[in-house]
Amino acid sequence: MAFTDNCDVFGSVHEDGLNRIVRHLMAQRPSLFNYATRMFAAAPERLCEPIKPHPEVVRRGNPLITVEDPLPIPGTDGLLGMDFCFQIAELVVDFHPGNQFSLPPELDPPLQWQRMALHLRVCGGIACPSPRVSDRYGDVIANLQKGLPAGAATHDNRPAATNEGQRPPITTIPSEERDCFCLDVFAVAHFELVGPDDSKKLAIRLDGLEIVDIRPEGLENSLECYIATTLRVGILPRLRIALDTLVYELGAFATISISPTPISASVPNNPAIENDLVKVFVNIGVA
Amino acid sequence: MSDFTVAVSEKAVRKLFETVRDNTHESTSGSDDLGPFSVSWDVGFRLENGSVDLQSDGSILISELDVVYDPLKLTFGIDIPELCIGGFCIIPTPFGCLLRAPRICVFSADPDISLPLDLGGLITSEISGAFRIKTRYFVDPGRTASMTNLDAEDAGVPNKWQFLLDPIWLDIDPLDIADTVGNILDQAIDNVVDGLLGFLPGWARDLIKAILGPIVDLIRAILDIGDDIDEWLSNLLGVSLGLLDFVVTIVADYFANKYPIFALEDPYPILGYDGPLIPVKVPLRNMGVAVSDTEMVLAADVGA
Repeated sequence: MAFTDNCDVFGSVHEDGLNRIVRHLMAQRPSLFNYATRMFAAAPERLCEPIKPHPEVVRRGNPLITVEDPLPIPGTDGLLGMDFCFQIAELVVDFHPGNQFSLPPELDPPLQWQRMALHLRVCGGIACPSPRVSDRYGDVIANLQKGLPAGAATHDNRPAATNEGQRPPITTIPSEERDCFCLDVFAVAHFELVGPDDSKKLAIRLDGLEIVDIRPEGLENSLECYIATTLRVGILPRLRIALDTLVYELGAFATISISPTPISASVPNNPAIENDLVKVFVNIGVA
Repeated sequence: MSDFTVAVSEKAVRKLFETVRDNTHESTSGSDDLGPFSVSWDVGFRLENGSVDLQSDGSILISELDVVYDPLKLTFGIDIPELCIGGFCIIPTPFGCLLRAPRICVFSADPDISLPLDLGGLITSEISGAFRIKTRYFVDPGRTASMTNLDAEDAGVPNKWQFLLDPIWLDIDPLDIADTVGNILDQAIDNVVDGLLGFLPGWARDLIKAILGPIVDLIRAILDIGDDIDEWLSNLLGVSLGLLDFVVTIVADYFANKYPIFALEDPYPILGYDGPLIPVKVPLRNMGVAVSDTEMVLAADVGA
């Protein structure tokens, strides 16, 4: 059977190739996988996991980290926060049938037909101030709140803006120490073609996610929810491949555009995940 | 199994072939002095008909692809030997001629006749051939040793995997000249002669024609047309003007490492620039193309 029995053009990517691409992606666009406060951005050696950027990233002055606001400390009216970092240190993809790693029982192994598994090593840490420094900042907050006139706090309990439209920035409590942890996160996902017919995008949809060995269960569920939401909202949408950008100039002769082959009995899944491959079936138009 | 596989069906290959064929237009112009006459030309060609087939031996066969010469505008400059009539003495006297007939000379210019001939679409030749697709790693000569891959991309001189047509055999038939070309040439000559002698008084025109005999024959003689106009035109276009060479050169360029039919940057950008963020590029290795009788398959690996 030929690759193109039911389409004009067939494309496939093997999981080994995709995992190499992921490593290139992590080295060349590290800010997509590393999130932290400004302190960590200025001192990346303090991160929980060292980043190994591509030399070009350094030469062009690209950020290693996406800078996030500090973790707010409740009760400080939004004035104080703590530095933190969140890193995806490793990402391995396994297309059906699963053979790169074992899925935890919670994700119903073996890997299901037309699904791919992801193994992420997620590391995080909080720059934890010493009790002595924390107490000193606590004193400052206490004195500050005493001095605040009634109604000075806004609806979200932060002090009113000093100038209209502006709020004081969160101050991070300095710390010499940072506590790190790394978690093994497993996920199951599939590919979908999303968007209108004339601008389809190849997107990854998360089906389930499991963190191994976290107790109590409520904490595990919360962390799983947080990581899954980060993937669904923050990372995976940025990795969509727009099919309408896969337009080729055929010399000076013509422009080739491609569109997905419609689902049918002969093409039941498009994209399809099978035999350690993701396969895409497309038809071409020539203009 | 390769990291990447892209297969293109024979149907899609045919679609691409037809598109390339229907959008191919090349042209050239020039002039030359061929001794008894000169010629200038404005010549182009387009492609028609023909078919492409993927073969089980790994080759691609192109059959009976017509090269139609259009436009094909030739302008002949013809220098006819000067001919003078009159000037003879009507009333001779012992002291010389009292009255002479007026002297009229024709064909004094060089060239005397400009003969335009529009043969667009009337002359064809045919190409057939079989080839394989060859991959070649191309390092742009504009790339300097100090450039990184990204510098090279920014400068428009990235390394590339190129795909070229490697001929197994190539056959370009001689020019096929339509039967009507002889009539068109004769008619064009007639028109030119009528226009050329039109200014003369009737008696002078008759006299010149009487002296020269059929002037059409004269022009044909100057052009050295002979009995077989097809042979003459084929020789003129194919040999003297190198029209066939023009086509062969262009076709051969595509078959001789000059123009890749397709190219992929290496490393290949999978994500472009995002503001200040550099593009994400992956190295492509072990690039290869295989052809079967149903499809053409490109395979490549991702480098470390």
